[in-house]
Amino acid sequence: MYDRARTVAWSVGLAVALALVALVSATIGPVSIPAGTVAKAVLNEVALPTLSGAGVGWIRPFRFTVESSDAVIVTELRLPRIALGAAVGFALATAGTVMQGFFRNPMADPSIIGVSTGAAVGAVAAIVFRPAIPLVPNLQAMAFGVALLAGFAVYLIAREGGRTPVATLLLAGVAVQTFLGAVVSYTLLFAGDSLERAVYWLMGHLHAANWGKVGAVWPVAVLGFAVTFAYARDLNVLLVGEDDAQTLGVEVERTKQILLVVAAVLTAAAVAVAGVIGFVGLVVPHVMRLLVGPDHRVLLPTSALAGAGFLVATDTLARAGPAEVPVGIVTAALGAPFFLYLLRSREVHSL
Amino acid sequence: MTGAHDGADPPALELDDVTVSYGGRTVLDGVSLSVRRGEFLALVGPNGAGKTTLLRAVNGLVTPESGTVHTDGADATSLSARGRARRVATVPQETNVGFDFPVRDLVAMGRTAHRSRLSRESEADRAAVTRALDRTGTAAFADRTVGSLSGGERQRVVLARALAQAAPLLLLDEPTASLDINHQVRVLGLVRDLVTTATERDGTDRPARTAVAAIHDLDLAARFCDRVALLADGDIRAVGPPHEVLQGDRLAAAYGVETVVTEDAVTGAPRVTALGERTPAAAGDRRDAVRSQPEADDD
Repeated sequence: MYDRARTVAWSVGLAVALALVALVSATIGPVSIPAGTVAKAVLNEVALPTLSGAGVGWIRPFRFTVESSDAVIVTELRLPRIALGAAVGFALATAGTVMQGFFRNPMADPSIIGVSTGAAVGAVAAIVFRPAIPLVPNLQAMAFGVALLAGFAVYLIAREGGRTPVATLLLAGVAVQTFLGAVVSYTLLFAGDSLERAVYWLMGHLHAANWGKVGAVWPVAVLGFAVTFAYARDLNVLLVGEDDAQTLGVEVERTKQILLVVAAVLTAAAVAVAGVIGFVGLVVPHVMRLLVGPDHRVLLPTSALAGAGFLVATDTLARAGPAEVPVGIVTAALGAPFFLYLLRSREVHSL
Repeated sequence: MTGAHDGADPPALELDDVTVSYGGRTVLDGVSLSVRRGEFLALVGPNGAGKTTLLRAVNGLVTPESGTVHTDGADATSLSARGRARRVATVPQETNVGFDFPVRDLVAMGRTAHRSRLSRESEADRAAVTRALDRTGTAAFADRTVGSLSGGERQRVVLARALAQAAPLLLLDEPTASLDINHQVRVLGLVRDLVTTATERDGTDRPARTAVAAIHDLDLAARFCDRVALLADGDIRAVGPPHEVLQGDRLAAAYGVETVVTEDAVTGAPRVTALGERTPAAAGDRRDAVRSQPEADDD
């Protein structure tokens, strides 16, 4: 039986875990900074609004002494990257949970409707052609825009007679992904000097993080999560089948449209800033489903928080070694064996 | 909701000249049918006769090409999914029940149409779920997952979900198809009981629940239902009390098999025994004969 207290307990626990992972992550890097210093540097940035005579002012309640180089490393280099990783993981895990529930298919992930490959086309096109053609929008805008276009195209292709059967959607998604993959490869032929940058982007990375990107992605992630969470009960009912859901009072087609759009926007926003990071949106929801059960009222918040923690942790690994590797490689390298382990040892054959 | 004080209730369900086609094939061909409040009607007929399609036209899963469907006097095709779910509850033929959900949660899904998106479960929701669990004898395993139940138990859980929906019209598609004889009798007996005993709580004692079930087993249909509607080739061949509809010639014409109808020694209900395939020529003749006087008592 659904238990709100259990949802809150799991969510608080995972949020604390995320905070701890973030704190540890901020200590790790070429310059090792003690956790205490990280905490002080973070607290120094805390500003509280106050009402002074003229209007709203900001006061900083904490004034710890932190070496300025340490403070800069923590607040300008590591924290934006951690915050961006958390936002991307949060968004991808939310989208993945929605897609698996929506498609009632354990292999569904956020990229299933072509959004990630669309983003790749946009990003690679921006990287390759932008130096020559100044009118091409910047990388993030191109990636986000083409991602949504690809998702929309898949939706239109799968639509027949006012309905969008999920099996058709799935197959249309696979076909469009394959086609767009060919477009990416073809574009890379013209990459020339920008080939390295394009390939690096395709692997999924967080190294170009800054507070601007963080400010762009977090609101999308939180808003998208809020909408899907409002549909948590409908997602549960959809799990018993679309016909049953309809006769139980769910407007199935409208609900599917809303969930598709939200999942596509979440994925597009995440991929636009971080490249194609695989497996977060596939593995995290599966693991959480094994831990907390299939009810989306608890599955959605726990998956989102676990996704955030997972990506921060894997990105820390990615940059902790002597040479930094794209985080997409780490998530896939860790996620795939873990997923296979689950597949062999537990029942992940169905939802 | 309905004209409670004008004396004459609208039928719980009324289909008027309903035609449904799938991919160019006419599955229902101008079907008209009226079901009174407090009635348990069985839809019988050969495979592919259109029983399931008729139910789907009522619960909105297919939209008729022409004709109208009214439930309690309201046009069913113009209702939202939510509005329809408050009037019509369905026990589907095959349920991909969420195997990992506890029984109580699955039954609570029946309350979907009564809850707003963000509201918590209300006292009324909880009471309806508890009542449905008690009524169907599923309360004992309310905390087990659906996947751990037997087919018969699962069928009762899906029935409980439909009851929690608190809709006046209950549709069942082959509710006994995969059940052993014990569960067949239990499920249909339960539906029979629900229809017989449920009355409006406004003091009028009018029947509150109506059931329409597609049933393959003619003996069970005859035993538990008030009336039987015989479908064949997308058309209703006869409607009436079981002993009037379940007659050898009619069944032979509809099913294409010689049948003998006797009285069951124990229940007193008509008992249908199929003998063997009949010759096509004879089948055609008799079909015409029945069609010309569909409501008549033959022989």
